[in-house]
Amino acid sequence: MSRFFTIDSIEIEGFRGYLKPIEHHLGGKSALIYGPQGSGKSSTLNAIEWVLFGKIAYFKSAESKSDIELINSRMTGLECRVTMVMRDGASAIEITRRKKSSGRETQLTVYTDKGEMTGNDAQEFLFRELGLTLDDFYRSVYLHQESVRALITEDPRDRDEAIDRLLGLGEARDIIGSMPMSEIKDVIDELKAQREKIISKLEGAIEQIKHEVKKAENDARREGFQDDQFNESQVGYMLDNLRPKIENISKDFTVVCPELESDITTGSVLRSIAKLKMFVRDCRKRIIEITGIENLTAEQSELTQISKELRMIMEEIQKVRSEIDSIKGTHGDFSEIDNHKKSVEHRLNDLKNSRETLDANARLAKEALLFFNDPNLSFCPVCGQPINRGEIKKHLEEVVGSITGGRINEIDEKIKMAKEEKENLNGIIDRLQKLEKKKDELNQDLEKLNHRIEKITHVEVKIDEMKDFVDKQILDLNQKIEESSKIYEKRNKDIEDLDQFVDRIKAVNNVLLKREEYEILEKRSKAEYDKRTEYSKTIEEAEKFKGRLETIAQIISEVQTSLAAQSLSAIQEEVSNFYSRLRSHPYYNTLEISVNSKNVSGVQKNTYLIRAFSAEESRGTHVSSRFSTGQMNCAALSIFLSLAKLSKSSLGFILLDDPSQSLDLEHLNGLVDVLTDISKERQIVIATQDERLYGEVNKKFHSYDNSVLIKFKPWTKDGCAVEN
Amino acid sequence: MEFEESVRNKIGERGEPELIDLWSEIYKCYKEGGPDSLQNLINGKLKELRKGVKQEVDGIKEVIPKKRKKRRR
Repeated sequence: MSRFFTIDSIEIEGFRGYLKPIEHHLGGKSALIYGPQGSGKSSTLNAIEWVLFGKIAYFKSAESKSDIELINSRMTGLECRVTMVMRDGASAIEITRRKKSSGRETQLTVYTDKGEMTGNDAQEFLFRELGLTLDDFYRSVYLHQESVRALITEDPRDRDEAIDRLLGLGEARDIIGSMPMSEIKDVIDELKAQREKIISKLEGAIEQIKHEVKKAENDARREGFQDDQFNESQVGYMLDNLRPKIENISKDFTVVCPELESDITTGSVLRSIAKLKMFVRDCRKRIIEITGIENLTAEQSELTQISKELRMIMEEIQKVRSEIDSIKGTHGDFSEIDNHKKSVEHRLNDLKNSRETLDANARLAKEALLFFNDPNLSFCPVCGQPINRGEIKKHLEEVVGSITGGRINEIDEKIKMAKEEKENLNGIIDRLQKLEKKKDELNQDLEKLNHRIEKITHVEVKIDEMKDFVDKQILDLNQKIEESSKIYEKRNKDIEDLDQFVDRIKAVNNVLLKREEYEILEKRSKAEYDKRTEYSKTIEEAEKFKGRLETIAQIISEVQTSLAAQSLSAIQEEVSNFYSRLRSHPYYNTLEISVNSKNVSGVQKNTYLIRAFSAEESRGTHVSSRFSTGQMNCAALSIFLSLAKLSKSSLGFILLDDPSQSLDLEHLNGLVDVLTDISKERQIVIATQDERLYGEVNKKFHSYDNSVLIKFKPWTKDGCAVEN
Repeated sequence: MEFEESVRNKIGERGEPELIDLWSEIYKCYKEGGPDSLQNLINGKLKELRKGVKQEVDGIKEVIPKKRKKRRR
């Protein structure tokens, strides 16, 4: 016997817009919930959905994972509760659901005549009793305003999704949508490519090492080895031969003899080669030191320089001496020249005195002449005797003439000559002093050279023997350098031979080393290859996983399409019936909905074609291109009401949230008629803010006396409030 | 259960137990945690796959000899 539950009462506390507990008594009657926007109408319908299923399908809780937005933030203790009593005749079910702010879980309690149930037991009981899922609830019980809004949208994807949800196929759509098929394919492709790349790198490395083996073999052949000599015993044999050689070289060069590794594995040989190369390097550094060639060459170079400088100094000394001798030969030695100079100076003084005396005489005579020019002068001013002024004047004029006319000039000429002679003698003295100084300096330079020679040769040499000594030393050094060069060449050859021998050992060892590396790589890559087979299985598994997901997605899609087709087929007649009763379109008065499957981003999804037909002329049109939003709303209502009518669930009520959106008066009246009829068979809960709908429905329902009016006041921070 | 049963029946017709298991896993996951949880499940499987291939790639990388840098003299 099928049951038919209607809502008897619902008490809501702390849920969304509700704060204080408010109980709505419906008593199984239809209800018209009316109030301004945001007053609590939709919260009331949501509360019915939530108390039954523990979630709200259209509720977006992206901000938090705990659905905390369900609880009114002013609610003390942050908990919400909804209690709903449903009745089917005499039997009743009381459902209470609570939720705290922490966690997503809700606490469900169900009371029946038989007792109390909680948690999963309670949820399973509800499922059994009500016979529907959340999808079914949306399909046949609750026409959400979002469903209508999505259906009348111009975006075909949103419309398809809305019809899917209307037909109860939201689950299928969600599951298919959660399978990122193209992403899975991309990941597998990327991983396969990554794997192939590294495998190709490994193969490349094997080829490279093969090439290196061949190169090492060719290098060893160029060193004169036969292929049958590429073995450890050959390397051992060569190292044994080398030991006495390096001991001798070690002694010759006084360089520490390297301790070679005792075993002849490639690694040990490599270490021995490194030691030998180090030994060769140290010997090369020592070679010049032990032959002394560097010091000899330096000495030779220094002495050659000294010899050159010596020659130059001696030439200079010779020149200075010649000049001194020449001066002395002409002018005598320094004291003679000095005496000569003094006598010239004396003569010069005498001449100057004579000149001054003549000058004085001439002045006196000139003054006397002036004196005797006086015509009145007849007596001597000194003795008072009478004088002959004319004779005196004549005499005085002769004196002045003699002095100024010849004698002074003669003395001046002699003074000039004496001065020149003195200057000349000064020049000779000065030159002689400079030459003596230069000679001293050159002798000092000779002393310095002598010190340098002594420093190099450790021999004290007399100054006058220096040249011969240096020349002999240079000759000796040349001979020594020649001898050292011979030793140097021999030692150098020993080292070069040793180096070449080490290179030969290295060539054979390198072949062995490369062969070993190749073997190791081959062995390890084979091991990796075995592992790779396992890894390939991983990728195979992934491919299988992808294949299974594709199959499942395909099957879901088929089922989804098939279920949609079944539902549409079942409701087709009712849809057209409701549609025509809603006075939908003046010409296209019947509605047909068909379903197909189409690929959207790699996923098969349902796509719906809504066509309206004219019954009289059998002509059709696409609803989306021809219908107004109000007419589209009629299509949504037709589908929903058809599904609700045919529903086999035990719920005897349907919820309509804002069903009159975009309807004009004619369509609204059609809707009211339809709802009035349905309300005779089912409990209808309508939430609306549409004054016209409120007025019409209230009038109609009231006349049948089978309705309850819940009128919300505008919402305040104290929560929802209902008019009494 | 109309939808879930229909899918399960159709998958059953194929006779592949792994397919049924996977479907059960997917559906259970979806029912318990919604679309996010289902995406996490699939991403988790992809992560495992990446891990497996990374191990392989790392294993091969270990085997490949490192390129020696030539010393400049």
